Amino acid sequence: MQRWEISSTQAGMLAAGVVALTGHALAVTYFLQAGGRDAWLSGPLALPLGLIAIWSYSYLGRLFPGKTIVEYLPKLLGYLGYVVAVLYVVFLFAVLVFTIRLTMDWLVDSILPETPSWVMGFLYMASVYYLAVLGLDAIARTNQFTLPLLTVLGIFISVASMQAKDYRLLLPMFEKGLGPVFSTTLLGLGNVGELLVILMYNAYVAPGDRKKSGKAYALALLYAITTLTGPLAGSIAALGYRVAGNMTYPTFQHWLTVTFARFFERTDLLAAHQWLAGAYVRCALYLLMFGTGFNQLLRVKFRHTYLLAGAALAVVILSEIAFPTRTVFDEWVTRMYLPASAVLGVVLPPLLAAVAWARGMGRKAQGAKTHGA
Amino acid sequence: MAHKTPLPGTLQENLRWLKKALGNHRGAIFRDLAMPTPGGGTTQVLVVYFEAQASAQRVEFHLVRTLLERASRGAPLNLDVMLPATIELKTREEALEYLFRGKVLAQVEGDPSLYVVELSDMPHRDIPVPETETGITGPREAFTELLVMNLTQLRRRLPGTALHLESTWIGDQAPVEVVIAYAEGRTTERMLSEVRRRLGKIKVDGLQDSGQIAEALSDRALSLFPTVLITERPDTVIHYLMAGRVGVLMENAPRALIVPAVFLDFFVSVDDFYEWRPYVAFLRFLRFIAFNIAIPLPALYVSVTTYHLQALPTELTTSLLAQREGVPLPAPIEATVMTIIFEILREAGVRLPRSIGPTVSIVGGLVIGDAAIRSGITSPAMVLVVSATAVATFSLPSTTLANAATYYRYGVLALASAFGIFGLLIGYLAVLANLAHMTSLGVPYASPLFPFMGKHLATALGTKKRPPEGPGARPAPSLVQTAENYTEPKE
Repeated sequence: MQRWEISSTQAGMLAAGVVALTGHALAVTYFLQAGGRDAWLSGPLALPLGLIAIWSYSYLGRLFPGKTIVEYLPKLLGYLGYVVAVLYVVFLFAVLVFTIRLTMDWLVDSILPETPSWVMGFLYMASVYYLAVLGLDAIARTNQFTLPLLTVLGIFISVASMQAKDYRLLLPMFEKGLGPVFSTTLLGLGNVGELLVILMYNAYVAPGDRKKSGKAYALALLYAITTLTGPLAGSIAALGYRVAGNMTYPTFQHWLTVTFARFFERTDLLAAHQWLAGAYVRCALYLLMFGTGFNQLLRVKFRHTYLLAGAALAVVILSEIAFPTRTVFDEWVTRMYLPASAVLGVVLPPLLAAVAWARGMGRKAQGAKTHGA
Repeated sequence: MAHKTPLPGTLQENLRWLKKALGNHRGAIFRDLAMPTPGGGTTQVLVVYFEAQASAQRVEFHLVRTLLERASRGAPLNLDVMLPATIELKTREEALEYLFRGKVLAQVEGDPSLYVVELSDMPHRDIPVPETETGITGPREAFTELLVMNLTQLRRRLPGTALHLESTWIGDQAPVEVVIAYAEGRTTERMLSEVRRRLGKIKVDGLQDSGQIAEALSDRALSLFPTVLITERPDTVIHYLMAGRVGVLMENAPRALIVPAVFLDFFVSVDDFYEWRPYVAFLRFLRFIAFNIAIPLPALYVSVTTYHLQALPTELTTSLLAQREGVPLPAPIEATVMTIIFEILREAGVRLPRSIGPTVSIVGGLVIGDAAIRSGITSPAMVLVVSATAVATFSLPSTTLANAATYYRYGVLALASAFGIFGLLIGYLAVLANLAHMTSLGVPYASPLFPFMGKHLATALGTKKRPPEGPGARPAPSLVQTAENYTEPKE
């Protein structure tokens, strides 16, 4: 096992940093298409289940200190545990494909239309690979720098684009019944479900800090919900839900409405910073955790330098060739990726916690602790 | 030095051995003196030293005249009692080592021991004024090549038992004394052991300057960012020792090393220790901005003018395009060539004598720059960008940090030339990752920024009250002590 060690603050910030991108940049259009005018409700409605999921992460972390979910699933579920562990490892990889495909599509559509997306994908993943190979400590520290900057710039854009927003467009609520709200909430849970990466890296939180990590993750969830709700509501207020839902990157439009006096006509270059810096830490963390989970699953010790390089290359290739059209990709996201995220990240962990409790593992752990003391 | 040979013993035997051992060494002075005694007899005294390394005047006054006077009175000639700082020698190797270091060897007939007498007078500079770390306020003393003088300067500034000076020797052929300096209770035992271990691992024949051991003290030898602080000022060393760092001083080296050194340390100028705090905080902020201009500005200009003209207002776009009309090189190559020419001018200015250096700057900066624009080889905007980058680089207090900025500038420029703002951001993220990963003797290099350590960040930004603690108060934990919690576990 690698001997990384991060603090609870770093762990919480990592959780906030890695999942926020989906809510406010990558998947906005999917939420809008599913929920229409009520799409912004998906965040608040996903919150209660999200909190239960976070509690279960902490509970499982306390039961299996220093172990990742891939390590303790077989102990919990026997052979079935291996199957579920495979799903978790595959999902960690899927997050990378999802992120890279959307990021490269956006770059080609908005920033560099002439450059082939695979070239940019290769360069970007090379950079991500560099950070991943440096280790969890380096990822956590990089995130400690990027997250506050991203937040400040995010607040700036939400305030600066206020002139173009009319929040009355959020009303009336529930105009089309509960159906759209339910659909978009399921996708919202998919966003929250990406927090499942905590089940991997929680094992590396410093032992003295583990008690505090639950609160840090809860705050990260609130951050994720805020960054999901704010941009969704903002997009609807600025463009109306129909126009915003037909756009591929509605939140990006906010940047196009802001100018810096006479010097910069468009501030979309700052949007590039937001997107790329946000995806950087996210991809590095998921790549590293994929490599860690892969080694633990197969009980091998492939060197991360080789394993992660192979995985990074595979991400670029798959994101290019696995989805011949954008429609196919969108279908994959809404029918497989986000629902799988909701199941693996929000539904399954509380069930696992319940299984552990039913099998008396919590009492055993408590007993061992008391006995040890 | 592993094999030790005992000294021959009697005065005549020692004299024969010394003459044989020093036969080819110019400047060795052997004085075989006959001291008249009251009984009319004489007592032989052997004095050996090197010309100009030991003071002939002091030998005459302190040693020879004292011996003559005592011999004439019939008093016993016990060298170890008569003279201060006298050491009895046991082996030939240590006798030669002391001799070569400017000490005087002496032996009295009948006494089987050869002694070393501290009468050295190695040629050295007086305490100079700092040359590379000049400031408006603060002391005006710098280190010299003489270690003992440098240590005296430290002791004068930090008298008492708080200052610890540990001596060690490095080098096989020509061992050099290296001193580890630290303040009691401010650093950690782990840090001290690590410094001792790294110095102990250095295997060289000899050392000429402390810069040669800086690499051994770095966590990663090939890192572009500096992880060892180098200073010529004793007051700076004391400031850092009180902040929990460890100083390394060396014989023959007019610069001290300070470890661990974190990223923000390289934004500290000498005046920062003495100036008005709000002003210091402002200046450090400016330097940080300058660093963030020094690396990406040419890359940003190239990426915007080549790939993202839509980001600029129409008037500015028109103006820039008009300026570039007729310029033979594309913007990426133009930027690369201009920054390389600037580096050449800078190098020329540094290498030339001081009286000519400024002339090169004027000719290079003004005449060539103006001529290049007029002849259409480059655009005024590019000259402005390169000049602004140069000024930003010069405003960095640390030349090693400025050098790192230069390396990264070329890397980021290459990426931006190929991929516009995307390449620039990739480069920026890679620099950030590198900063996040680096350590200096195990202390996270980007601390106290990330990992975030609020109290230490206030000190690093210059906003915290100086001195860090009030009279009689317990000192707050130093960055080094706090960073113990963040020290990366070794694989």
